[in-house]
Amino acid sequence: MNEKLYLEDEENLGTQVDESYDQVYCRPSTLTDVPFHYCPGCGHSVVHKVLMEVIDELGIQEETIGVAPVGCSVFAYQYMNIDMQEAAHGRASAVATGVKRVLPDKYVFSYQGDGDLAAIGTAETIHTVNRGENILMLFINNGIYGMTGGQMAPTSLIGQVTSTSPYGREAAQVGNPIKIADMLCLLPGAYYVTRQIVHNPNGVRKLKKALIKSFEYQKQKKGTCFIEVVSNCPSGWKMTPVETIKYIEEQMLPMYPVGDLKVPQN
Amino acid sequence: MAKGTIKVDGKICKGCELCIVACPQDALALSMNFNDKGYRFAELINDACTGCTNCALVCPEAAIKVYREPKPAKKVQA
Amino acid sequence: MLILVTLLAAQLPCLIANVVRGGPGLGTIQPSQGDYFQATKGGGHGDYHLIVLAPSSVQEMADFVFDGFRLAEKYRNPVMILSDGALGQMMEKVILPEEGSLPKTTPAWATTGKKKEREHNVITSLFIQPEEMEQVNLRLQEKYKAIQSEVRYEEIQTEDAEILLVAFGLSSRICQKTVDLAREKGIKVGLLRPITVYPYPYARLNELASQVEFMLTVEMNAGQMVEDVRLAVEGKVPVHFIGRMGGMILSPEDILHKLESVHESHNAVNV
Ligand SMILES: Cc1ncc(C[n+]2csc(CCOP(=O)(O)OP(=O)(O)O)c2C)c(N)n1
Ligand code: SF4
Ligand code: SF4
Ligand code: SF4
Ligand SMILES: [Mg+2]
Repeated sequence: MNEKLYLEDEENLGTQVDESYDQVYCRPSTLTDVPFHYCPGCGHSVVHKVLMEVIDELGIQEETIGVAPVGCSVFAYQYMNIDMQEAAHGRASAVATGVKRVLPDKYVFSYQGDGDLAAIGTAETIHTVNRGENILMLFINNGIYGMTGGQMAPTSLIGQVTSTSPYGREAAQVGNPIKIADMLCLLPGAYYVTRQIVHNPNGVRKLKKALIKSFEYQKQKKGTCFIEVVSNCPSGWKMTPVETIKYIEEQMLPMYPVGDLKVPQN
Repeated sequence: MAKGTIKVDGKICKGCELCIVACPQDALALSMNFNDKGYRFAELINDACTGCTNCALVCPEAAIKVYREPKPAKKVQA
Repeated sequence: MLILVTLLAAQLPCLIANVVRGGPGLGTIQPSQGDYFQATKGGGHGDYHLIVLAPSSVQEMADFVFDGFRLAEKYRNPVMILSDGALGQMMEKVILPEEGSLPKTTPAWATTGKKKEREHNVITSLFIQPEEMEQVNLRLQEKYKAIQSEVRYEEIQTEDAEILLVAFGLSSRICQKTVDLAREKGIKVGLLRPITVYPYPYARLNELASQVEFMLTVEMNAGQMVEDVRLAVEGKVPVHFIGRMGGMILSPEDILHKLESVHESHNAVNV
């Protein structure tokens, strides 16, 4: 056991790196230096990170405007070093519509949780996609209202125990989990709809590709790109971050399978 | 296999262990030390790292930097 | 209301047109002034004010769109045009304000894409630290103080008035007729019409309180603006009220009868 248990601020962390080595991965420069307020292991942080990494790689920091939701990611603008607006609960895609229409040549995205996008904001979601607004909608589906203390969301699984379904969600009483991404595919305005994950490295790599594609489609003014990320909420699910991996794979993914739901024709 | 290494920013690591399960080389573990937020932070425990970036990709805190030995071809060129 | 207060706290300029119908509830579609409290006193959460313009003609409905946007941009505050179902459907001759008379510059706080030479712009209504929220409130209060200078009102035959009618919007047009009817009978009646109902012409009403015998507030509601008139006169003169609700409109004669009966009761006391 080490003698000293606490890490000093100025202490040099990690290993000495051989000077001949290349740096192959580092924190995206479009992330601010502010440490995330998210719970340990929360998928929101991973999505923020990948999104900023893509903005870095495409060199579009000055060209991108984001809209944050109400939910745990309400403070997304503290971490994303781009111009941003904070919308009222559920209205992010409506605000993004406004921004995009005033600035049609900028890249615009909305970032929303499932309570935000698929409950209070259902109308805005459907109509934004139906109008084929030329924006990217990012949808972080963790099957719960994370921020307010783990209440049941429309996306919660059958049998899922939450603070408002202490005996597990029952379809007879509150309906079935809503698969909003699948629903949106029916709308002609939806150009690209995909469902991704961030709980393993390959999932993160694929999300990154989907993000790059979406920004390219936006540049070509193709219509709405919609990326759902099946994510976790260790605090709301009352699990350790590592336990959430198993839960996503065994419980969430059968309901919300990973992959493209609607891809551009030809 | 390429040789690699990583640097963990222990000050912002929250000890979630997602990097540990993502590492194919079992090269990571939580330290017995704590950072000033009270989290045990991740650190390399052996020299098996190949610089595959898996740990860094899943790290929610963007706390990991990855380094890799340059490819031999590149070395010759240099 | 949530959206309105979100815009307000984020200090986003915008113009809202409220063409008021009879309420509460789905109510009627006939004209009403029942939203005066909502427009001037709130209805959303927090300490806030809109700038509220009350047109009484179709010409003003058009003019106030331009005035409203100008005020909204100047103060970074939502502006409301408080109209009603009659004005909203009325046909009158209008001279449209000149196009292009609005500023077209992009303000520095706008989210147009982060430039290298500046920090990222964030538009938010969330100030989670109470210390910060209080500072935001103090700044808003400063703004409301400055907005008081925008007060506007119209006076009709107040110079020699012994009785003052106070009415805004459609009611004020009806009151103009009452003024004429009363003067034909030799009763010296005047009218004050607030054009801005926030900010409110408290000071002018207070001055007029030293001149007139009493005031009569006329509204198409259960008595909302009358509270502001009472605040303005600080008890110097009695303030009476006549109104109808639910989409019903007063006639000039209704108002004249009320005025005469109040006038008589005052004289009776004075004798
Ligand atoms: C109009 C309104 N209703 C309710 C709330 C309270 N509220 C805050 S966050 C939230 C749910 C967020 O859930 P989700 O969108 O799934 O985000 P998560 O925290 O899970 O990422 C609710 C209901 C609010 N802020 N505004
Ligand atoms: S409550 Fe859930 S969604 Fe919110 S930060 Fe914590 S883990 Fe993430
Ligand atoms: S870079 Fe790959 S091998 Fe090295 S520690 Fe990270 S996951 Fe393990
Ligand atoms: S994934 Fe990141 S935050 Fe989690 S333990 Fe590893 S280094 Fe720390
Ligand atoms: Mg959620």
